[in-house]
Parts: sequence; C-alpha cells; structure tokens
Amino acid sequence: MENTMKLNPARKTKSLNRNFLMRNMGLIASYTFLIVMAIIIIYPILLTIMSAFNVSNTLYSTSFFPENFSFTENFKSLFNDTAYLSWYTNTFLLSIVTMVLSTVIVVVSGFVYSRYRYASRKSALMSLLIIQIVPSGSGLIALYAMASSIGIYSSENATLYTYIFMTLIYTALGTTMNTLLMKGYYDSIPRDLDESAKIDGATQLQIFTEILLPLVKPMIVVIAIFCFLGPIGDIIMPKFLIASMSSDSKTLAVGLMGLINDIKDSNYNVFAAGAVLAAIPPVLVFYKFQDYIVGGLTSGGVKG
Amino acid sequence: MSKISLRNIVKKYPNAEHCSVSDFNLDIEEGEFIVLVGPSGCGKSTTLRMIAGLEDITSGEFILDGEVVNNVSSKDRDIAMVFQSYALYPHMSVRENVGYGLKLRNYPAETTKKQVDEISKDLFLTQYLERKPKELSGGQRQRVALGRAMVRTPKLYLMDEPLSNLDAKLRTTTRSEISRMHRAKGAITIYVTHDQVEAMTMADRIVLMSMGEVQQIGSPKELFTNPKNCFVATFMGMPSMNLIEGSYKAGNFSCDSFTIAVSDTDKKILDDAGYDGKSLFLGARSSAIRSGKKYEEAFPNSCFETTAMNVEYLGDSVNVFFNAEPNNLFVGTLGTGEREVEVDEKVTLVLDNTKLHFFDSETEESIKYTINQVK
Amino acid sequence: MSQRFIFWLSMVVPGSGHMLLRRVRETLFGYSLLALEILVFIQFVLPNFRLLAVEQPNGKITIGAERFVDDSFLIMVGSTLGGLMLLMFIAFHYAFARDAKDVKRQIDVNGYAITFTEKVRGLSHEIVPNLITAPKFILLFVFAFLPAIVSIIVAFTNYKRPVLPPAFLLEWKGLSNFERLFTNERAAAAFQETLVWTMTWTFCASALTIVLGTVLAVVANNKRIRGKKFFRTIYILPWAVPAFLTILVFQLFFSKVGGMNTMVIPFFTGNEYDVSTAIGFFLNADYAKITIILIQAWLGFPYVFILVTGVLQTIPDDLYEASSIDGGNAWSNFFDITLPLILISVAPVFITQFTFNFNNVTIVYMLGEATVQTIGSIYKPLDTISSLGFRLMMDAKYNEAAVYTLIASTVVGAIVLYTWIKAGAFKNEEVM
Ligand SMILES: Nc1ncnc2c1ncn2[C@@H]1O[C@H](COP(=O)(O)OP(=O)(O)O)[C@@H](O)[C@H]1O
Ligand SMILES: [Mg+2]
Repeated sequence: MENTMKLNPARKTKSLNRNFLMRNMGLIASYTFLIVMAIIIIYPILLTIMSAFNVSNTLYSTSFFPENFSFTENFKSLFNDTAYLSWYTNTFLLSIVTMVLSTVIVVVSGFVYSRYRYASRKSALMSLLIIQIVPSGSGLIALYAMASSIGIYSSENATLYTYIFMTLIYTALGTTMNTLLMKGYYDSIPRDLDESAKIDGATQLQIFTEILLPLVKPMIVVIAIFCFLGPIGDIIMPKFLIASMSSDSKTLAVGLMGLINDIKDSNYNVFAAGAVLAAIPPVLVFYKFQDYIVGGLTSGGVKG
Repeated sequence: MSKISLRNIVKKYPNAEHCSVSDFNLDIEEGEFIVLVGPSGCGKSTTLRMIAGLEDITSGEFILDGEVVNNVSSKDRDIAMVFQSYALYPHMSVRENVGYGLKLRNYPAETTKKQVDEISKDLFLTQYLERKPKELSGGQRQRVALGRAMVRTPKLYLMDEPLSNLDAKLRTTTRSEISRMHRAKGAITIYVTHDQVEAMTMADRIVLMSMGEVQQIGSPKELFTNPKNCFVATFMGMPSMNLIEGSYKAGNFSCDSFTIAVSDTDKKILDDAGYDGKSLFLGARSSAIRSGKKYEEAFPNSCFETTAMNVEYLGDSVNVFFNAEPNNLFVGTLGTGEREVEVDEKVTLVLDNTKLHFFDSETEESIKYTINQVK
Repeated sequence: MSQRFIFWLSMVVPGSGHMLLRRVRETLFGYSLLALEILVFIQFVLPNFRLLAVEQPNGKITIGAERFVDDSFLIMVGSTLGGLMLLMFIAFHYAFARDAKDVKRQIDVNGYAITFTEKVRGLSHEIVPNLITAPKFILLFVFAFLPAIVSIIVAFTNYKRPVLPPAFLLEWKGLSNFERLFTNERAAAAFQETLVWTMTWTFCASALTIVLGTVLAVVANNKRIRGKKFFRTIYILPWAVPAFLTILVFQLFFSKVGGMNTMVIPFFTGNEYDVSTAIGFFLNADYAKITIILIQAWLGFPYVFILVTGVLQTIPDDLYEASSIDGGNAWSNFFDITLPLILISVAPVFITQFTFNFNNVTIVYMLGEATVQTIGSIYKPLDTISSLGFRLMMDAKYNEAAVYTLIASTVVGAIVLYTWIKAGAFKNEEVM
C-alpha cells in the first residue's frame, strides 16, 4: 500500500517527461487533421457564397474573393431571368404540407402502436418494417403511369395535381420509418403515466394530448424536420414526374440542376446565388434544432 | 351491504399459462384500511389494478356501492391511486400534478388552488409547488404522489407499494403519515405491500396472498396470533416463526434435537384431533423462546440445552440462532435481564409452551385455527 | 355436424355455417358479404382479368384487346387490385369460418355461445386502433405497395417508348427482359461492368464515410482538444445543406472551369490556370469514380460523426478510471474500451450506409449527367444498378428500368432482411 503510494507519482512524472513531446505531437497532428478537414468542408461552401456575389462575364474565376463584387446583381438576374421564385415557393409549399401531413400521421399512429394492444398490431408493425425496405424509387414507374392514366398530366391544373400527387407520395414514404421511430419514443414513456391520468379522470384523448404529446415533443420536432428536409432535398421524384412541365412548375432541385446543365446560358454565379438562397432555410432549421436531431438520432437511430 | 365486494375474482393474462389471481373474495366495509400483502409476484398488484379498472377482470364480480362495475372505466369509478413509481407527470409542476385530477373534473380554478394549497401544506410541499418532479428528492416526489391522490375525496384510495422506493427512516414516517391521512379522510384504502411490517402497522384488515391465492384475511392480531397455515405463520412477524417437524405422542413433542411437553390445552386439542402418534409441525415465535432461571422454573418440562451458533445484538434484545435438527435454524429473541449469550456458548433455552402453534405435516394447515377462531 | 364441416362450409359460403347453427345476424352478414363479393367480382375483377392476356391474330399476347379502347396500364393495375381483392375475400371467408367453428365449439362445450352483440362489443377495441391507422395504410397501399407490385409486373412487358398506352397495347415478354442482360453479348458485358462498379462504389463510399466520420469524432472528442463546439458546427454543415445543392456545387467545382482547376491546383503546383490543360474530373471515367466516392464521403460523414460523438459521450468516465487503476494507458484505453464500444454502435450503421449508397440514385444520377457516355455503350461510367434504373426510366424505357429496379430492390431487401433476422428483430417484442 505504502509502496505504491510512493511509487506512483514518481512514475507518473517520469512517463510524462518522456512522452511530453510525443504527446504534444499527437495533439498538433490532431489539430492539423481537424483544421484541414474543416477547410475541406468550408472551402466549397464559401466559394459558392463568394461567387454568388461575383459578377463576371467569363466562364471561370481564378480568385477566391469576388473580382467584381455586387451585392444584388446575381440575385436580380436570378429572379428576373429564371422562374426561381416559383421554384422556391413550389418547393417550400411541397415540403411544408408534406411535413404537416406526415407528422400528424406519424404522431397519431405511433401513439396507437405504442398504447393499444389489438390483434393486428403486430402484423401492422411488421408490414411497416417490410414496406420500409423497398427502395422509394422502385414504384416510380407505376406512379408515373398511374398519374398519366388518371389524367393528371393532361388536366388543366396539371401542376397543382402533380404537386398533390407528390405530396401524398412523400407523405406515404415518410410515415414508415418515422412511425417506428416515434413508436419507440412513446414506448420509452412509462405506461404508469397513462394509467395515473386515467385514474385522475382523463379520457384517452386527454391522455394523448395532455400527457403524452408534451412528453414526445422532442421526437415530434425531429420527425417534422426529417419530413421537411426530405422533399426539399429530393431530386429523383420531381425530376421524373415534372420534368416535362413548364419552367414555372419545377422544384428548386430540378430548376437549379437545369440551370447548371444548360450550357448555353450557364451563368454559374447566378446558380451560386440560387444555391445560397435555397440553402438558407434548411440550414437555419437544422442548426436551430441541432440538439433535437442529435438526440433523436442517438436515441432511436442506433437501434433501428 | 358492504361498500365494496369482490366475488370470485379471477385474472388470467392473455399470454400467461396460469391464473395470476384465482378466486379472490373480499368484502370491505366503510372506512376500512385493507392491506394486500404477500411475496412479490403473488398477484397483489394485479388485484389492485383490477379494482382500479386498469386490467380486465377475467371472471368474477367487482361490486361497488351495490353495483357491478366490472366494465366501468377507471375514470368513472371515482378512485385515486398512488403508484409504486409515483407516475408523476414530468412536464407538469407539482401544483399542476396535484391539481390535474381536479382540473379534469372541471373544478373551478379557485377551488382547485385552495385545495392544492391545503394538501401541500399538510404534506410540507408548499415551497416546492412550482418545481418540476425531476427537481425533487425521492421523499418529496412520494409526497407529491400522495398529495395527488389525497387532494380528491374519492370512494376508494388505492396504493401500490408507495413506500418501497424510500429509505428505511422515511418509510416509517411516511407510514404514519398515510395512516393519519386515512383517518382524516375516512375513505376505504386498499394498500399493497410486500412488507409485513407495513401490513401489521397500518392495516385494519390484512389480506395475505401467495401464488395468486388468498391465504388468510383478518386483523393483524388475528394473522399474528392465529395463522391459518404455515405460510401465514412464517410470513407474518419478524424474525419469522420457527417451524420444526417432529412427532407428537402423549403430550410430548419430540424432534431430533429436543423433546418438550405441550401445554394441557394443546394436549387436549391435539389428542381430540387425532394427532397422537403422528408427525406434525411445531411453530414457535422467537418471542416464545426464552432463557433464565425464571422461565426454567415456570416451564420445567419444555427446556433443552443447545449451542448458540450466532448472536445478533439488537439493543434491547438479542437474537440467538441455534441448530435444531432436522435442518432447521431456530431463532430466539431474549430480552434484557435474561442471560447474555455468546457465540458457541452452551445455553439452556425454554419454550413457552402456552404460545405454540401446530400444523398438520401434510396440509400445513394450523390444527388450532378453527378452535382459536371460535374463541 | 363436426366443427371441421362447419369450418369448411363457411370457408366456401360465408354465413352458411352460422345458418346451420341458427345464428341469424351472422348468417345475414355472411350472405351479404358473399353478394358483395360476387358483385365486385363480376363488375371489376373479371373484366380486368379477362383483358389481362389477350391473344392477338399475329400470335402476340397483349394486355387489353383493342388500341385506344383498353388502357393496358389500367388493366394491369386493375388486375393487381383484383388479385389482392381475391386474397382479401379469402381472408374474410377464413374469418367467418373461424368464427363459425368457434361458435360451434362453444355450443358443444357450454351448450351456448356468446351473442352477436357481445362479440361486436368485444371487437370494439380492435376496431378503434385499426380505424385510426387506416389512413396511413391506405396511403402506403396506394403510393408505396401497389406501385412497387405494378413496377415488378412492368419488367415482364414491353412498356417502353413508343409503346405507351392507351395508344398502344402492352405485350407480355416473359423473362426476355432479364435474359437480355445475360445473353446479349454487349448488354451482358456492360451489365457485368455496372455490377462491379456498383459493388465497388457501395463498399468504398460506405467504408470511407464511416472511417472518416469515426476518426474525426474520436480525434475531435479527445479531452485535450479545445473548440469542440466549433468543429462540430462545421462538421455537420454537409448534413445541413440539402445534398442536391452540394452535388451541383461539386459538379461545378470539379469541372474544367471549376474551383479545383482554377484555384486549388494552381495553389499547390504554382502553375497558372489554363483551360487547355485543366482536368475535367468527370470527363475521365477513373477520375470520375474516385471523385464521386470522395464527394459522397464528404456528404455522408457528418451522420457517422454525430453518431460516434454520441457514443463517445455516453462512455462513462469511470470506465477509463477503472482501466487506469488496472494499469491501462491511453492506447489500451482506446483499443480496449473506446474502439469496441464504437464498433458495436457503428456495425448497424454499416448496413444502413450500405443500403443507402446502393440505392443512392441522387448523387450518381446527378453527377452522371456531367459525365460522357463511353462510345458504343449504353452505360455511363458512373451508372450503378439503381441509377441505371432511374436513367432508363427517364429515357422512357420502363421495362428495362423495371428490371434494374427489381434487381436492386431484391438485393437490398435480401440484405436488410438477412441482417434483421440475424439480429432477431422479428422475435424481439421490444423492436416491435
Ligand atoms: N401484463 C402481464 N402479463 C402476463 N403476466 C403478468 C402481467 N403482469 C403480471 N403478470 C404475472 O402475474 C403474476 C402476479 O403479478 P403481480 O400482480 O404484479 O405481483 P405482485 O404481487 O408482485 O404485485 C406474476 O407471476 C406476474 O408474472
Ligand atoms: Mg407489484
């Protein structure tokens, strides 16, 4: 006992001395690695922001900072020369409606799966698990053909109907995995609380709205964000379903992709301006609810 | 007409093989404090939850105020319940937690506030009213749970091991707190515990269960002094009753370790019941095991010599453990003024043969039960 | 009159078993169900089934009989629905048969059986949750399940521009769409190439993403590193920005006139930028493949980073303290405690990453648009099985697309199912 007490500090200092340089080299290497990675992340993003404010007639620019700075020029041409504004409203309307619909469905059905015990519960959950495996793109052919067969594309309000159609598809796809996540979160809330409220005189609806909803709020936020970001980021569905429509009917993803691939009137700086504007809402939402997302991910993401 | 009747209540969980509660019968009178006690897993919570309406009753009738309420939902049964986990609503303050039941019953905000204030004063919660449950200590949470039940005046209070998460000292004080509240409210309380001390100290009547079956119903004194079978005898009382198998012949009980004479009353009872020459269980509480000259003279025919295997010092008394064949550890509680015993010491012990219990060795039923009951 | 007889009688004619048992309401219910079934069958199922395979004078088997009159696609969907309805009818019959048998059993045992009213009351707690979740299942059925089934069927037809219904009738092609991939020399070679690249891409992108995310998390969570919050804020940026934007930005960045050529390479080599010597990263197949893997790692690592950071933060300090009392140092701490714990939590991520990248049409398709097709090939260098499915779809070669999608879905489904079964996901009530 005494021996170790005497030995320990001595050994510690010695090993500290020997490792001092090495350990700090480790630290320096770590910082270098972290900073290089940070630059690799930041650089393309900053470059895009810079070119959003750069006005040039040449196809390329060799300087990081704008050679010909203008605060508004690119944005002006974005709104004047392209249908950017309608892409923007299309996209955000689409994702907000999807978000509301799927969140409501997910929150309610998660509650049912967690709190009700009925014969077909297990098969319902199982079918959610199975449907979830099927890649979302696999039904696209049939969806497109269905849409044209029921006359969506030939109708007067083709754009509106297509968007409703897409909203429903996104909603359906957004409810599988998220319902399971949500159910898991409900499960983590002890049923004692429900029973206690029941005895306090609460109806099933009151238990849901007054006891459980406030408690699952963090997960609701996460799911709402996932459902919001899904349609914004998707290019597959709109590319296929609205590719042939007028420029006004496009989503941001399709519109911007067209902007960059259309070599003739490519103006990369205008594209950059559009990209910056498009990125702002999702990035803000993401950072505002960062902790929720991280929490939701580490609570449910690892399991499933 | 009793206030509450439980008739042939049976519970079988859908996925379970055996019944969790079988044929439970009980009538409860106005104002009674009933304690359901038994080892864990014996079906106490299940019974309570059926009464609360949280579990379906498989068969049998639950009668409240003369009406069968098997299919009435919890919220309409007019009951309050304290959960083992407390089940406080994490997102509500103490005030909201306590007042939630009143709010749901559409009490005016004024009344709610007044009643919540009153009950919190009673439970020393006034200064915590605005806190959330997670900012409270275990004891405080328990009091909130209690307050949430007590703020209302239902027909029936239900408590499922409300004290099991508290430390020993808090448990004792809260115990008397609950008894006090019960007297003040006067409503029927059904209290579940696995702790026989709580049952003994709090109950008007105890319902002792084992393996889903009621073993005995009676006042604490009845269960303690006249246990119906070996299970009741050993479950009630601390340390638990000594049981030893031996044979009875002509007024003497003998086992491998000792032979003693039974009292004259017991002799008559045993002889009448036809146990002469048969084997049976002898039960003796540790308090019936004494030592010292005084007792040796009083019970000269029930003394025996043994070696103390272990001694537990309890302050004003000691527990002495010694071996009694076959394979039984006997314990005696010796009070102050009796001999001081050391480990491995040879000691003469006296069985107070007026306080003995006898059980049939086959059925484990008490032989004296019906006779004592008549008395 | 045995229970079995009652069962099979009700299975054939729902309600008749109940009639023999003198249960009026169930009988009526059963007969009306049967009437409804017959109506649906005659009005909907039969007309669709009849047109599902029509032999034309020229010997071809078509869906629908007459151009412009019959929409082959609607017939396909209708037949699928009809088939599912028949399955549903069988389920109804089975429910009736079970119930009739149960009633019979109760009468045999007790002399009486529970009444219809009691039965319905007993079922009410089954009905409510099913009703609440019904809208979701209807959505899923219409927009996920049905399309997936119909898409599979498309793989066996000649649905491909210009054969578009209702102007043309679709024709059954049997397995020939699949056979082409193996028998047609050019197609087979290209398919093989795509398969190899798909595997390479899936594995490399997933592995790089996971390694990068894990290493960054471990380094950034070292106790001695300051500014953790700052690094975390930057590292999750790629996750916060919608992927399609980043992909477009990178497409530009790696083009001949992009930042990589105009700024980064000149910065390191010291040479002036010159369009004629600039590297078109997507114009060369090998460069393109490496670049896309790097970009995917850039896009995907934040998810792993956050996940591993979360794991690291949940490792209690006393684990390390216990280990240093046992004589452990920093290295053994890492290899004996940190790494195993990370691996446990990263293992399932590998599956999600793997399936994600296998299915990742977005990046492959978008960057694929920037590449050039190899001369004489129908494939582009970056095409994977899934992205090819999508590209063929865009080119209105629906039947070929369906073949690829079917292959891709089968592979992914098999992998996921296998891992779930191995992990016991279906047995464990908790997962459910
Ligand atoms: N939901 C349930 N499903 C199946 N069996 C249960 C359920 N709840 C309790 N049981 C079983 O019923 C018996 C009694 O349980 P319980 O009433 O909780 O005992 P306790 O007396 O400890 O409160 C136990 O054997 C337990 O395993
Ligand atoms: Mg219990």
